[in-house]
Amino acid sequence: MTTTRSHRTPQRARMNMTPMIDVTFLLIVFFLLVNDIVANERVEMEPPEIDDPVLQTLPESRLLIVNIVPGIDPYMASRVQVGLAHEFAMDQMQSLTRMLQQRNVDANSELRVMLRADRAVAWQAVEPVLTAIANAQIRNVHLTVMLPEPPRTRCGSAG
Amino acid sequence: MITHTRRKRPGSKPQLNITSMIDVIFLLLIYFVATASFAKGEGVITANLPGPPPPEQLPALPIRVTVDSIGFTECRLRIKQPGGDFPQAPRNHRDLANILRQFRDHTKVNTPVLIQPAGAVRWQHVVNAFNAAVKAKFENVSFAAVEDER
Repeated sequence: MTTTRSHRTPQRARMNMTPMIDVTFLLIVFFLLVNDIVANERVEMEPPEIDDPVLQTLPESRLLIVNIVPGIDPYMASRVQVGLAHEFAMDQMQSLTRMLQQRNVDANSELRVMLRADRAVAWQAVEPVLTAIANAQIRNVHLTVMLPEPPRTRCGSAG
Repeated sequence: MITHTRRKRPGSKPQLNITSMIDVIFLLLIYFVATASFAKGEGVITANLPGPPPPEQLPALPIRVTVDSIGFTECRLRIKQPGGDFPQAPRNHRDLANILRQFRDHTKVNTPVLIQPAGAVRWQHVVNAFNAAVKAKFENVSFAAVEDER
């Protein structure tokens, strides 16, 4: 008994790229979810909502964002976060002043500060931060507020 | 001369493999949903902190806008001018802006305005009072320090 080997025509070996791309994207999504890469310069809070605010456009150059981070009790502040890297406890306002002074010198005394504080925070928590900014000889301070919502159009009021 | 001709099988139509495309689209969708952050719209109002007055110039007496807290959410506004209290007491921030605007139009002097909140007043009310003074076209608006509660 003899076995015969059938001769097939030679085929080109090809890689199927689809599963590789699938796995690659899955890995990207996984790493994005488990790592908090995007550190936000603006701490999550609710800035004041005011009637008819006198808003101004703010140039992004030489702008430093100072966040007064609300505590567990939103009436109190837990700390002050400046930019991404600097954090100060509420009893370290002199350190905050020194850091702001240095940044102002680096910016040729043209540093702008955007102050963000939660609407519920008490004035006694905000005032030391404003004093620290003033002591650092920074005059350009911008208070963050919520943008007013655009007026809603009425539906069904034809006629 | 040998020519290569491509045979067309009868009845076979070219087909796109949709499955892999859907895979990738869903992955991209998950990626963008996971990474998107829906930022709320924010704006700024400018509060230029005043520097020390020049030595040859006498400092002008400011109008004081006091903000006191009533309970947890409400506040009471009062306006004090150098001569005494204003005859009108503002009921809300819009009223405050109107009274200050009337005073500004009447005197035509750029008097400094000092926002003087009590320590317990919420930031919402302080910014509202500040915005009212800016809306009334006052150019020198500043905040007072917290007074010691004795």
